[in-house]
Amino acid sequence: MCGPFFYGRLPDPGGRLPVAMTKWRVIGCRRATIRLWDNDCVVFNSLSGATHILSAVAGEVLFSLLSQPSDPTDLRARIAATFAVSDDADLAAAVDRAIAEMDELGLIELEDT
Amino acid sequence: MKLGDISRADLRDALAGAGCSIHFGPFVLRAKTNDARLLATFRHLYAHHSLANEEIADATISVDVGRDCRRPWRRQARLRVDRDHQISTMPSSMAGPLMESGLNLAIALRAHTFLQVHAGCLEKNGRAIIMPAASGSGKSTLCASLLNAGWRLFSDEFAVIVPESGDVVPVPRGVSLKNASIAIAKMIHPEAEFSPVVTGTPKGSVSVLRAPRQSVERSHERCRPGAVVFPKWSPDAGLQTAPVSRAEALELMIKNSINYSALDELGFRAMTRLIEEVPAYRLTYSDSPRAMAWFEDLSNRFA
Repeated sequence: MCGPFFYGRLPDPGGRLPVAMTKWRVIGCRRATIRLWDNDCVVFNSLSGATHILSAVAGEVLFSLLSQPSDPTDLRARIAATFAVSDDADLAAAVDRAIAEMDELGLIELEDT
Repeated sequence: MKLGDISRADLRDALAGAGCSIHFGPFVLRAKTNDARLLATFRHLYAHHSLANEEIADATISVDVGRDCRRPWRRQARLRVDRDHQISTMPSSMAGPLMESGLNLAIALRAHTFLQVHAGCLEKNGRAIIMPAASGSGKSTLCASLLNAGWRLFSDEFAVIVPESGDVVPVPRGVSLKNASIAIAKMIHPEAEFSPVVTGTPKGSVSVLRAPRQSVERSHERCRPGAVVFPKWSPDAGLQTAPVSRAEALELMIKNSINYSALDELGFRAMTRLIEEVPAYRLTYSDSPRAMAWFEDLSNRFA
């Protein structure tokens, strides 16, 4: 391993599991600071003091994560059941978008493994 | 005792000395000035307001007129709020508008026990309409029209809301009018009293329509909100109204709020409760009589 070149696979420095297998949890809000209005979800982020307007899917993801930290696969299954839709590629994309957006806003984070 | 009950000489001495403390709704503001012209305008605009001699003022607003140290041939009006550094300086002829902006600033900067939104706010049939709008959107002209139609003035500048209860609090002061809206307001509301027009201010020509006596005397009567209306004057618009979604209404209200962020979660709870409690509309108009009829219809739904 010494020297200027290394031909092997770099180890994961954090020793984390791939994102798809880890669970997300809510850090920036509570039930009392979330409103689901028609097709919008309004959230007050108590860590940043900011108010965000998110999609209804993001709102359901937040409520789901508040009930129980989950990985994206579980989340998709629960969101599919809530909206009575099939767990397909479109739903996966919507849930992934919601997760990425809320991660960016500091509303959720990955649990330490 | 009302400000109009004291003699001009006593008011001059008070304003030039320890200051004159006045009730503006839940606030007590102390005004100080050494300017004789401002004294006359102030006495006229706030004649119906109660004096608060024995109470501690929430803020002290001073407008001092004196020579400019760099250009001593010019007389300048200098605004201070409390012991803050000099906030603004204008030619002495603009002492009146400077005092008005100082009163606004004192409420905006100090009153964080309330949620404040930059909005016109009037009441009829026991419910207040909140009209958040940017400067120049015709909010004050609309206020003048609604006053003429018998609405009670809560404020032309701030919707003041108790965050815990959602009650709307009156802070009646004059309606600030600018440029073309001065002549329009005089035409709409011929019985109203106006302060002298001051020209050449950063906002152009300005004048203040005195708050109606009845609105000032009922400034302790709070009420529930009835509707949120986002007004915009637009030539040839006639009258266009449309409901606004809750999320958009919240976004617009936050944009127009003065202290939403300062109130943290309390602000969020107060604002979302208001949005859930009342309908929100967008109103684009050029036809004032039709706009008044729409507001009348809205107020009838409160009754």
